[in-house]
Amino acid sequence: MRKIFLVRHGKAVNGEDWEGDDCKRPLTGEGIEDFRFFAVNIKNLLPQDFVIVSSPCERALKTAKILQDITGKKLEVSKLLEPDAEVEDYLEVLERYNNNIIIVAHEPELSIFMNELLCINPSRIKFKKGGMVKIIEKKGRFFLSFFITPQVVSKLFEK
Amino acid sequence: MEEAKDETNPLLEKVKFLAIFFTNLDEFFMIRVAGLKQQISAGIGKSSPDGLTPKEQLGKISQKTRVLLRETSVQYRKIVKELKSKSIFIHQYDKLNKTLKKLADRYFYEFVYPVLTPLAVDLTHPFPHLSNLSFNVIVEIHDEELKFGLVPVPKNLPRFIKLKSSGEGLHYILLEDLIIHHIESLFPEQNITDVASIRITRDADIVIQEDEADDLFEEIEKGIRKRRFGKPVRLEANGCTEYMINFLKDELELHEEDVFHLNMPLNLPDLWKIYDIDRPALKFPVYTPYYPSIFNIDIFSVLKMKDVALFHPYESIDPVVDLIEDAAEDPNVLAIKQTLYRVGKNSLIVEALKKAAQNGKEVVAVVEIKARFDEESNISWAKQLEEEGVHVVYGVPGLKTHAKLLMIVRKEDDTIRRYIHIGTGNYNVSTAKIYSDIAFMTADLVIGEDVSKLFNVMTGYFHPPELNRIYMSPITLKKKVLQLIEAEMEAGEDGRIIAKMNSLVDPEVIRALYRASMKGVKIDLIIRGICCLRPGIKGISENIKVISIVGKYLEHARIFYFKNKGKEEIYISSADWMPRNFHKRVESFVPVVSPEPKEFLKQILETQLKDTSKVRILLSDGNYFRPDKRDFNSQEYFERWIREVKV
Repeated sequence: MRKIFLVRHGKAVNGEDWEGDDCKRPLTGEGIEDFRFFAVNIKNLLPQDFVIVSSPCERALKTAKILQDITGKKLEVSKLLEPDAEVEDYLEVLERYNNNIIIVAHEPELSIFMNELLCINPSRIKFKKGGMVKIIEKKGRFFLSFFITPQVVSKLFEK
Repeated sequence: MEEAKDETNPLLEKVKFLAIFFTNLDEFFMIRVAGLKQQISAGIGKSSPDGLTPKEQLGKISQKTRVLLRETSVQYRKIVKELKSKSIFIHQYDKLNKTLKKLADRYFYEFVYPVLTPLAVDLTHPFPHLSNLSFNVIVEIHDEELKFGLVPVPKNLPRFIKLKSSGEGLHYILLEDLIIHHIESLFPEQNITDVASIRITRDADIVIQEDEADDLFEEIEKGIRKRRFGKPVRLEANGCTEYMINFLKDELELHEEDVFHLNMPLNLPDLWKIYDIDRPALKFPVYTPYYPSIFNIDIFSVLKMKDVALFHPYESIDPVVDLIEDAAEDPNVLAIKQTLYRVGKNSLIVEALKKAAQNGKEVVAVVEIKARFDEESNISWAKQLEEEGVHVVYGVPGLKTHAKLLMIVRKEDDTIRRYIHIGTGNYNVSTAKIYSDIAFMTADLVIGEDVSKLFNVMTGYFHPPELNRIYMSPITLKKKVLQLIEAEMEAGEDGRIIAKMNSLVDPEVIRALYRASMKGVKIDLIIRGICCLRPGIKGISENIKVISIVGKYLEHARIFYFKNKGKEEIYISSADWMPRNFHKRVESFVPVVSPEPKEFLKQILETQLKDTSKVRILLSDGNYFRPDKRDFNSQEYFERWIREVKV
């Protein structure tokens, strides 16, 4: 039974306020702080063993690095997860890292991918920034385990 | 599919090959798979020569189709990406930006929503009829109980909806994607739990009971209506649809092997619409068929001097159209007789025949309205011809008229002359630009008399005619083919056969070819489509080579060469070597005797044998192999060659 976590990057600098390469757009200070709080609190929900695979874009990569800091697991970067990726690219990532995995990437690709895996059509579940979904793979089929957002975590833990 | 993958083909041409792949697959299911299913339901369990029962064949087809579809979906996505890099965007609704989403929503409510018909499918509603190749969105609804809904995707709206074109950029969205994302507006207040698109394929091989038919015309019209209701043979689905698929399988009486989950949009013959995008840089350079200058002289005088062979599409079909048009206006022309199989829409040829009838000529059209998938269009122009006073005859009962013959009878001084055109392809001006075919034109007296008799057989009562030079199905054609093969056998290692056709299926002819190979006869077969002969088997067929050429033009000519101990013989024919062409059709097999066209045809065959670029070589295990070194494309060579050899 394999566990797949999908994470959308934390709150980043607004695209309209950012000049230059969109891929270099960083997380805001608040975004970093919120996600760190989130990651610390959900740490125990993660399995013993997993790899973090991130999109190469700054806002995702920083988010992934926070996860790496807190969990001490290996972080890898994959161009397949860049914005505008296809479902097939995500599937290829799943195939390449054939164990428990945390994927850190972008919208709307993450939702499209999740809805596709879970057979939710038309896609109705949308990721909030910093949101995390856990999906369990059993014999080639995918089941939703939980879906949480930083907002939920801050309410639960009274940040 | 290989051509859709071939990186040397321009992008939109790859799109076109993908569209052709899907169209062919549809026809394969509607006819071949349907045929096997008919055999099964008739309780036929007998194996075909390959040792497989119909049921086993179906199983293998199903497996192979799945492999093909997986490959195709990878290729489809690759092509969509490539289109994107050329600013042709096929968007997914979920990925639209705000501006495009707004445009998409507006388009939906303005143009799509008003023509949609949501259909409820539950205990109180009967299961709606899904006609052949109908394309639907299906909805799963969980209220107190599980129920379903269906929305037929309208055929009269563009499948690829253009949302915006800005500069070079074209933005499209798929019609069903738009419907799926607005599905709640069609089933309001319902708890929709799943949506998918599905497509049904039905048996489209209409069987006409000619003996019982008072009016063949009416029977065919009935048949076309029936095609929409033929037995389901295939269900395609895109989306996760376990409940729905099981439900549909039961309703349509289909089995697991008939259900195909596609990881790409359905109904992709619609890709032709993308091919139509006006971007010449993404297509093959436009080739203008050559108009041989000899036809600038009066065509009848030309044919009196010599026989002419035309090679389409490298040479234009216009001389043929001109011939009929000239004949229609020529006061000396008394009669025009022609077979018509698939003439296409707005046919210039049909127009010319009408004009000839208006001008008081005796005009006869032997029309084959049973030409598969074209019946509807055939009926409509056949009616038009009749209204103009053309004698429209529907051929010989029980036999499809497949021969492509044209005869013009002209009064010249004190005699009557017959001008003959014999083709390997149909009198269809648009396909003549894509199909590679041979046309042979002659004023030869013997051939003229033979063709005249053939027309009498087709319009009067059928009786085996005594022909002097032409061989015809269902009477003498197969016998002649077998004789020619036998004759080469006598020459042993000095024997040589080159045969070009679309399909080789007939077991008796295949056995004769095996025997010839065993006697040492060198045999080259150029067969684009189905070939049931296996080459290169030691002791049986090691002297036989089979190649298939698939390129930008559809190889369609039937040309046959026999060495005949040095007295070479060349034939052109309308017939493939299949049982149906030998026994169920009126076909012609005609020797070309005059030296110039004979040499011309021989060179065509020899050139094709040298192709390395678009050739597929059949191996003895039935698989095809494509050589790595691809430096000679015979079709491209012909484009240049024709301008050198023809004046």
